[in-house]
Amino acid sequence: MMLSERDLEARLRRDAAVVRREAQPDAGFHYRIMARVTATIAPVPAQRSWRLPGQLALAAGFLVVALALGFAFSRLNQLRPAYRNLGAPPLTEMAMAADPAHKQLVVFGGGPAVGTPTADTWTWDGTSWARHRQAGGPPARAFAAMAYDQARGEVLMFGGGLDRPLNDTWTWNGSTWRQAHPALSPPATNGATMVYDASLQEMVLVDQGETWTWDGSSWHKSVPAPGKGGPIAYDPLSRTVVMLVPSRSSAQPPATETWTFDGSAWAQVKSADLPVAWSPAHLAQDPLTGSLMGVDGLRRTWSWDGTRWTTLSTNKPSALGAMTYDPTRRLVAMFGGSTTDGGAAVSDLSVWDGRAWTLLIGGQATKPPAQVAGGQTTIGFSLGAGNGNSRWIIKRSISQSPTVNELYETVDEGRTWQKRLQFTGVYDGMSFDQAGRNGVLWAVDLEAGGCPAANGPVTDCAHVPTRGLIIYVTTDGGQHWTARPITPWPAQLVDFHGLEGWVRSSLGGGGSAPLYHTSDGGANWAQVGVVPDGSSQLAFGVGETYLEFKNSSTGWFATRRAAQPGDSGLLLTRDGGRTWEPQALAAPAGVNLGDLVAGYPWILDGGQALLPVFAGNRRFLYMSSDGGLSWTDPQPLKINGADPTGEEFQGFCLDVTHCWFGIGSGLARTSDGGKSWQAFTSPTLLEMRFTDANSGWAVGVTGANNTNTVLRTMDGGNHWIQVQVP
Amino acid sequence: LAPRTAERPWFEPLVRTLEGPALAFATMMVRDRSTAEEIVQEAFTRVWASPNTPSNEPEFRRWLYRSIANLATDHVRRQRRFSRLPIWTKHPDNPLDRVDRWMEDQELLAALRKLSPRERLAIYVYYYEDRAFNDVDEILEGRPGTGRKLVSRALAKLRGRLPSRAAEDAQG
Repeated sequence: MMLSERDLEARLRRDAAVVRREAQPDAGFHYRIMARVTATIAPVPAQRSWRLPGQLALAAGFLVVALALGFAFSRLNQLRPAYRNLGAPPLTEMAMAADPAHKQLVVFGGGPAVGTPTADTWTWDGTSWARHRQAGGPPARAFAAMAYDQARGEVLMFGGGLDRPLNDTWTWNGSTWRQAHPALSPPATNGATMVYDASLQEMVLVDQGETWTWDGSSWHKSVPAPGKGGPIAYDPLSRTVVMLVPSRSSAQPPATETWTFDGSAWAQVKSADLPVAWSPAHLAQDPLTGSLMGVDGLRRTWSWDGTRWTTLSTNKPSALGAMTYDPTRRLVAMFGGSTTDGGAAVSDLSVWDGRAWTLLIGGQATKPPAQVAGGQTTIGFSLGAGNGNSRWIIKRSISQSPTVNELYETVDEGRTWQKRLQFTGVYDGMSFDQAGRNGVLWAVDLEAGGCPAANGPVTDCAHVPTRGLIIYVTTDGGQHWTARPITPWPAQLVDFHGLEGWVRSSLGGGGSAPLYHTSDGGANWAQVGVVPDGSSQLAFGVGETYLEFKNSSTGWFATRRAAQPGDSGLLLTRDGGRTWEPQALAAPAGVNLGDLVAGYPWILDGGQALLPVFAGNRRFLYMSSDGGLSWTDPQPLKINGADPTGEEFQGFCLDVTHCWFGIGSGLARTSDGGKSWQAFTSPTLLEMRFTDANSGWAVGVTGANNTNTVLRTMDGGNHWIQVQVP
Repeated sequence: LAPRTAERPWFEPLVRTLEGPALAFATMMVRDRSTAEEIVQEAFTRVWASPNTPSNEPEFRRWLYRSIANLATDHVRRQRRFSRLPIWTKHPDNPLDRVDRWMEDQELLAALRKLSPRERLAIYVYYYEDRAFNDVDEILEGRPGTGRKLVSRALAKLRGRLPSRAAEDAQG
């Protein structure tokens, strides 16, 4: 029997609903498209010759194209970047609405701290914030009720205030406020909530047990409202206004009731009572489900299915500010708010795409955090080795002594985290073997215990540091870790590849130092040689920085000494560390050899290797096609013809063509082995790792308080978003 | 090189407007989210790389959908070589419902794939994007009435290729 046309249409529509649900783009999808688009160009004829090491010849075609792309990239930066939070003001107690007619978020009032209301209007266009001040505009206020009036294409604001509540009505047309003078207005208030009711095609305002509607010129008192009012939103699926109201019962903990308004009466949805207090909280349309989502006072995210609320297993927005659904960008935006302790406002803009919250950070470079004062709770991070989908973060509470570190793993790009280990020590690092099963995590036992002040963190205040190496080993991909005995000798520089590792010990007074080797993750150690002295300025540094082994026999020790004829300051061993010989470098044209200071080599696949080298403020990238035994073809790191500023050489090389380095104002990237560089504005990056040309993780310093944060990019470093870590 | 990479300020807003529908179109064709994302990224890249990329939305959309349809067809051809059938990531909880649902998906998918590209696009725009016939006309660059005619023809073909559940139940 043939399928009826009606059945077929029903089947198609059912399938369409499933397709639409499955095919909702997440917030990163736009980034990924633009990153791929802007990295693409059709092949062009190679018209220039290139001096390339023999084994780089295969990449030559790509390099020619990529060099030509230097122009392309510089042009493409003129495309409007997506979702940035540039120039965001710190604000709290303000009102916010999305204005889809003008593709902007509108924020009014509030101030930089609790109880400091202003008369400023701010708009966000998806990239930057702009302040608007208008003579004759609305006076300063906090806690106004504000929402977009879809029927009239303008934003409506009512009331607000602080000590003296207001009952004035204003409309925003995308650039100017205009006061309305209705004959009748709701009572003065600084606690009303307001929403556009698409069924009524009117605004609905709730306050102090009253419901009011606005038709564009007049306020009309409607039916009594439940309770004093609360978070409110219009649910397009049920075509009702949904409001959360604190329960009037005296039950503990305080409960929350859900009420709906169909345009004529309020009705309680009994099945949706919640045994939690939501206040302060927000509701908004969910970009993924089309129904509603909410955030409660503990910043947990909830989903509404028309009959009940369920909590979502997701991360939290960074702060509880003002929240609204932004139909232009199909995101829920949470902006501003205040810190829980001091009342200072934040400028965070967190966005919800239906699956997770991401924090959009500003593009202004910030300084590293100042020295930690005693008693402050300051967090540090470092990135662990990743394999497959696993990403590892080590989180440090620097205010404790000895430092307490927590190892977290995520397998879903930072949405959820599992704590795998807690350990003490500093200058940590970790390494897995190629299969990702066997790994080592290490830190140096360097800090004496510090007895905390009253109510401070509990620490081992009797701890006497051994300066030995603290080691944990895993053989199941990091699910479980086993402690090894702390080494009886002090550790200075560490390099592990899976369970095989080398440690340059420190004798405390400089000079040559013994080199220890293990092939079983630190269960047994043997001294294999002596490593010559490094620079007198050599700090007690991060393990991987100066000692780098390619395999059991070949390794490098970057002394950071200035180069001299026949000795670049980079030492090479070809017998597992028994003997060391200096490697020579030829100075680039126009550079004095004595100005060169070698970094440590990046050993890549196929015998390729890269070596960053400083020459004063200038930087060069040397290349090797024999696995790092010799270095040639220095490429200057120049951006738009100028030498980048910045003292650090924090970097990462993915392969022989893709490298990133921190520069004073952000990040430099090459996609052609150093022939050309693109500069991106970014926060100060302390450490970075990339898993492919687009996807990377970093530890950076962001925000007004120079907070250490974990960051992620999906477009090769052009944009960074903050990742929430527990 | 310059003309090809000259500034195209209209490009990104079009991406923003069309990335959702494009992903839905690709998802309808391949039934696999990650493959659909890959196809959409590649399709935008191809449209960008053309020296004559149109800047008005209807024509841009036509180019994009054509590119997605070609890429999806290529993908399906490649996949057939390995006899792998895509399945949905989310299923109903009941295992029997799951089997039914999977079979329905496969039947519908197979039937949709047998339509001509224009018929398939007409079905997609009309049912999956829930747009009017005159939108179908515009996207297909056809005369008024083209969309209605194509949808009608496609429905007739689909009806002939999809078994009635009632008939199956009666047989079973």
